[in-house]
Amino acid sequence: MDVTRLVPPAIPAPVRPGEVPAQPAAPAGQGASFGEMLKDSLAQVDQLQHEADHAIRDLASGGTTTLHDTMLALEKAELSFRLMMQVRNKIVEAYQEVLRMQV
Amino acid sequence: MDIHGTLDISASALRAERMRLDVIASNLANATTTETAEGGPYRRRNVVFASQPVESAFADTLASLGADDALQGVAVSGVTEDQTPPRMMFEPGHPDANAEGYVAYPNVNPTLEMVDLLAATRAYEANVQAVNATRRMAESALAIGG
Amino acid sequence: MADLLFDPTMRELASALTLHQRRHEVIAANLANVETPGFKARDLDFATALKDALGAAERDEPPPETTRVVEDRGAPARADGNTVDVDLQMAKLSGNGMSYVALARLLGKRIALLRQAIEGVK
Repeated sequence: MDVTRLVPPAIPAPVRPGEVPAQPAAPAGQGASFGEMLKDSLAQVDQLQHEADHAIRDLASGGTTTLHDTMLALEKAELSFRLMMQVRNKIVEAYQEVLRMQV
Repeated sequence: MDIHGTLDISASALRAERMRLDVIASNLANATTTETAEGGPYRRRNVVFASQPVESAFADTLASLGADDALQGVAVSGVTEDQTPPRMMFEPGHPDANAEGYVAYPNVNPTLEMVDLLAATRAYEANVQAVNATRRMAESALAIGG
Repeated sequence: MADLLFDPTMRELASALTLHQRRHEVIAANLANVETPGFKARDLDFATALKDALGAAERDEPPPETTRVVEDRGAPARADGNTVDVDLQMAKLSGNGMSYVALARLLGKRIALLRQAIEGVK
């Protein structure tokens, strides 16, 4: 697992007094990739949740899935969700820090 | 886990061996019964085992490839009477003695029955072990999430 | 982002687990038929099956749908044609079962590690 990718991209430069603060969601040039990264991960989390639900249904109805595959699907969904939450927390932290920097 | 299929296979064996044990017990209990309701001495009984298909996802996949490969449990397909003639013992004073003074005793050999008993018990226990292994494996799979 | 989390090793572990489970079913069927006249004991072609399963996992493909079941030639036939040797099958049952449990634990530990890596990011 490449841990460095867990760290969000650099936060936008602090705003000097008198200047209009940059939009938090789209700092110059980096906003698009960041926002997209979030959207992608959200979609992936959603996808994994659906797969977990499907695995549970399959197991409950006596389908072709195995117990370990079902557990794995559940864990994948949970872990990716937690990862997303951590990333979100990081973003919120960074944003709050930016706000605090304004004089 | 396709736990039900595997458990069904083992359960079928436990049932079959149980019936076999019942028949062996009946043979042993009647080893000297010279007069039965149907007339004549007790006749030794024997179970016949045959493979029996069970439901399981893997078994279904195998079965679709060719009947030979299907996973099978077992069942008692029939209980037969041993056609070996009864043992004739010379006991003129016996109430069931025939005109020549011979009594017809059941064709049950207790030694052979004990051997069968051991085999049936062994098979029963082996399948209990299979059930335990299935359960242990399922438990370890459930613990994957921590 | 979830791709970061689930590398080939985990897929290989999952494939190996499935394989061990299938073998367990075959062994259970052997034990059930230990007294069935004419029954031929069976096993998986394990070495080949494992290679196939791990290869598929590495290439990010789903594991093979089914596994070849072959005749188990570990014991000679008895008088009624049955080739199931209780001792041999019990030994396989034990060994295979322990491998399964070990693999499941390994998978569990991997996941615990990932969880720690995620939660530990402060």
